[in-house]
Amino acid sequence: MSDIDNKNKEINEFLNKSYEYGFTTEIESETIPPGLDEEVVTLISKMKNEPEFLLKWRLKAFNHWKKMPQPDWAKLSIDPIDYQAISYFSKPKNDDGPKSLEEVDPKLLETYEKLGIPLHERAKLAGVAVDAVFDSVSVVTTFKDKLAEAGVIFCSFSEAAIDHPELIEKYLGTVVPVKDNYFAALNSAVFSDGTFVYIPKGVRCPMELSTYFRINEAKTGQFERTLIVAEEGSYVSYLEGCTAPMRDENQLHAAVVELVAHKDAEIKYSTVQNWYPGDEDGKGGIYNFVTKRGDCKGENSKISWTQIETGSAITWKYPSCILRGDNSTGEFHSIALTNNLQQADTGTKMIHLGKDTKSKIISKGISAKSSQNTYRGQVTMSKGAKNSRNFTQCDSLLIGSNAGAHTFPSIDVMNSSSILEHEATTSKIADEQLFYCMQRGISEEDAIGLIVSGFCKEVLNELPMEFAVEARALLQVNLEGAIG
Amino acid sequence: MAKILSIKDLHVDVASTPIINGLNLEIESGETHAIMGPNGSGKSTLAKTIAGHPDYKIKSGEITYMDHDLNDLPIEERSNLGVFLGFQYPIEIPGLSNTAFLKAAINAKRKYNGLEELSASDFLIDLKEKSKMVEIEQKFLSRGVNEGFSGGEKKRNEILQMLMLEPTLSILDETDSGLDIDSMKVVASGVNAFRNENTSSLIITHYERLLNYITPDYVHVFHNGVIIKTGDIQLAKDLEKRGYEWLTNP
Amino acid sequence: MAYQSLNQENHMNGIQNFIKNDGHDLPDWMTHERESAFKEYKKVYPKLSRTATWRNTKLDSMLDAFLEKDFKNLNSSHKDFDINTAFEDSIRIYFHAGMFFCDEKIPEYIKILNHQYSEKNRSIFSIDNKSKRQAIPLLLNNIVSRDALLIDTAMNQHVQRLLHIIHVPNQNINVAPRININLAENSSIKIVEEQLQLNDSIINHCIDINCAKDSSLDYYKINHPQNNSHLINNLNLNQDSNTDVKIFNLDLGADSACSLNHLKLNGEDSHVSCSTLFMPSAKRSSHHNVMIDHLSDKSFSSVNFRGVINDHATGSFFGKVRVAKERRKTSAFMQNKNLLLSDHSKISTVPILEIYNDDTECSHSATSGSLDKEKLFYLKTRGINEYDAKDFLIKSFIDELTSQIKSIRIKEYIDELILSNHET
Repeated sequence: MSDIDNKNKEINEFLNKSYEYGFTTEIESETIPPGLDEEVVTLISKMKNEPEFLLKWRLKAFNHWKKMPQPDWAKLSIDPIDYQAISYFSKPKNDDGPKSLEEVDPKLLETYEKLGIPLHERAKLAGVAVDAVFDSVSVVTTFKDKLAEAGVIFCSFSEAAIDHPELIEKYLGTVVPVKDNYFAALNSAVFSDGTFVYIPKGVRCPMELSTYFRINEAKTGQFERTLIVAEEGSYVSYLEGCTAPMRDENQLHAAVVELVAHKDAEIKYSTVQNWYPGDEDGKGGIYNFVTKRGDCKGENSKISWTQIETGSAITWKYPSCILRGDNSTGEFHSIALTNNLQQADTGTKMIHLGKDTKSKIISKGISAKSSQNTYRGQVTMSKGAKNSRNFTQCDSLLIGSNAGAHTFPSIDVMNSSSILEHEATTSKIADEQLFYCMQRGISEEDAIGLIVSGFCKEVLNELPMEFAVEARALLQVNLEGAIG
Repeated sequence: MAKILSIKDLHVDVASTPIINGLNLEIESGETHAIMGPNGSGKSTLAKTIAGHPDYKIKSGEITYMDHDLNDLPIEERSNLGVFLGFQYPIEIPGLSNTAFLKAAINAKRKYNGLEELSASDFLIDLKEKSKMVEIEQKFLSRGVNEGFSGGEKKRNEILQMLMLEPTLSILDETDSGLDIDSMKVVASGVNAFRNENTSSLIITHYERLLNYITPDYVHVFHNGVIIKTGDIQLAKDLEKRGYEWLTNP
Repeated sequence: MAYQSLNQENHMNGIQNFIKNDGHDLPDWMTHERESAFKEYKKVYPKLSRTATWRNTKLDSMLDAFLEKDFKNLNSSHKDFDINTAFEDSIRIYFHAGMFFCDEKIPEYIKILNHQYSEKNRSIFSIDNKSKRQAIPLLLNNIVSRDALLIDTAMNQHVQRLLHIIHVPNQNINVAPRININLAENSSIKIVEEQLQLNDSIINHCIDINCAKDSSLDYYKINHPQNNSHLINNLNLNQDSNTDVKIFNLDLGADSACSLNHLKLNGEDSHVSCSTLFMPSAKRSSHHNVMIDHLSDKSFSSVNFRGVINDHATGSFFGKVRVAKERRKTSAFMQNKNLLLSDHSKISTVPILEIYNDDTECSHSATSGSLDKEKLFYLKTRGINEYDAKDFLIKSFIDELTSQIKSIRIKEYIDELILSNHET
């Protein structure tokens, strides 16, 4: 065998490493039968005892959704989705509402353990309040007292709809309107649960907020809804991490996240996403069609997105910022790693409306095997966005001769006082870099891990410490032994 | 004295072109050998071949390093066994800090030898001391490997890596090229600090300059992929005066 | 926005009438060619007019104007206008009122086909292997075109004299010049093509270039500012192995100026560089679209587009580099830099990379902004007034691009044009 064949063999061996978190938990579920019509939408709302306005809102969204076509502009090939075959609501049984960790179904806790998320330990040690979402209904919420002391509201979306309807009514759909896009409209109609965070004026949230998402029930679409509102001069850092069990059928996930930052407020939103990507033949895996958007509403406000996307069969996701307030700042830091037949079409939109607004985009795409990895971005400097700035850097790293890396930036500038810089590079791991590392005694696997970490460093540095560790581990798991 | 490196009738091709054509060379422990020769004589090919670069194909002959047939060993195992190559053109690895890189390399070697990982504090103490020796500022160590380093800084960084990895055989490929006199002195003092009865060096150079600071035991003249003359430091001095012509075109 | 004009039906009927009325002196095969082009046009038009290619262009107003212009060939000769003598020793070919002609004995590697197209030249109208993004203007060109200029170098021929193609000013016309360049093995040529100022006209220009192995071409296209006119430039290039093509476009703006370039590298060691300087002012607009296909190992491309946009003008750049799956050791570089000189000027830029294997080096960059304040400040501290300082910075921005032009006299000529345009 030639060296190249040998190399390819090694690449394949390493790339064939199977998904570590592929298992399911056996818990009985309460599930609405598959199908979607006005009745199902109404049923979801009733089962959750939602106020009337929310039901109306859901129905409005549903009626829009019916008229919309599924978008096809992304560089993705998506098998047709039968929206009538999906069950739009499920929740774990024994749902009398556990008041403490001891009351939680031990099987659930075990699942988190397997995922490397020792909930009680982590919660205590790291001071992280965890709103763990298992399928659709939140099961565990901790640290509520401490947060309540600071006036912070951190609860499931369902609770918020009942306890704080005025806030929900005021903000829901203001950043991502129901008509925004196909998947956002679907989510608006059928969202099951999610998280609501409200930081009052001048409050610096005393701890990192974190939610772990996990899809469990077969054929159950997961439609999370997250809304975070940061009042004047407040600060919050929110972390979201996901893994999912192995499934044969594609599972649709269409979440919506809305962030609102008022004057002088700052929201930091971080995601580590490691859902089941499907097997090496592209069978199974999650469809991750997410709409995330932040509104920098007030002066000097700041929203920063950080994402580590290593999972899902298909990712369609563009966490964006609307820079409305003067002197507001938007940031997007992303690592997207694809392997086998995974497809990712991800990026961001930075819409500059206010004066002196600033945005920064750092995107690192890594594609291995036959995967396709696309950065898609939109930067708009409107006429009124005087003296604004954007810097964009998107780099692609290719591993293996069949991988694809694509860059689709779109830039519109409508005033002359703004400065915009965009740079993109595409490269592979150079043989000479590997030789150099190996000459120093480092194995090929480790060398690749080191080089990829180096490639992603600017983004990894943006993550809170405990997440950075998890993210590095994820990259390593997905890349051990890769060869350029 | 133990035999460190033994090369017998070595033939090496690069891209199907024969570059080394029947080379013989023996290096014992404690010895310093210098290889000189005109450009394109195959000096760097020898260095890359010993380190195991995949583009350099051994057609025939053998390279034995401390009882190991090097031809059978992967690149990193050669390194773990104590073969160090100081590169003529050190590679840049953006984002991977020098410190993290060195730590990974040292622990790879320790693991290979069944030793525990070096503690962070021991590592840092060692690194601080040795980087002082080659006059590399601490702040450079947190930068990416060779990223944005000047030519001289890169070469000093190579010597730092050598000192940290404590190899048995150190091959320095044109480490002196492109160095100002101060950097060269620093490099030479680093190499001299490394010399002892258990280590050997193979210094590949085009000029006699470096050999004024590192006195070799043997000087070999390389031409067309073989050693055409062997002598001592006097040979290097003759070459400096008379050039290579009198040897290559007698 | 795409063409959504209410008179789409009128538009189609108008084309139909044109084919009927204009065709009486043409050979049957040509009328047939026009009809089949029209048939295809009707089919692709509704789909393609809405694609990203035509975003930011004024395709709709161009098509609205399309039928209002006079298609008829005027009987005129070069004596009616001043001869441009920028390059004294060049061979000059004129294009006027829809016809090519030359005022000296035409060298044998040049052929002018007016009205006497023979059927063997039919392949000129082929749109096979051409990018869809050019389909609308190419088909329209097939429908309107009567004349073609063929440049076929012989094997081992290195043409020393510069070939200067001059499009002479006209009023209120709709013409579709067609140029085919075929470079034989180991041949070379330098061409400057110049579009002088027009009024109230539509020019739909198509050029096809095929370079056999070991050939080289320098091609310069200069568009003077156009008044109330629409200009579309379609360029198709195919390069075989070991070829070197350098393309330089200067676009000083039209009511709408649009260039569509499709460059295909089919052979090893093929090198292409494509540079464009676009400088629209007033309410003009300038749109540039370039697509590079690396279809061979060891192919190299360099794309460099710069916009200097003034007043209420609009500029846009759409660039795409594609590296196919099995193509190794390719290198692609794409850059688009823009200067916005007025707060009413706009730029839109979309630099795309589509890479399907790992053995390739690609990069792109895009910038937009006004003149650097720090540099202006620096110049002023050295006693230079604001006007001169700005002028100096604009020139240096332009010069970074024009300094790549190797021929000194062509560079000087282009610099002069830029200067006189800038001053007015």
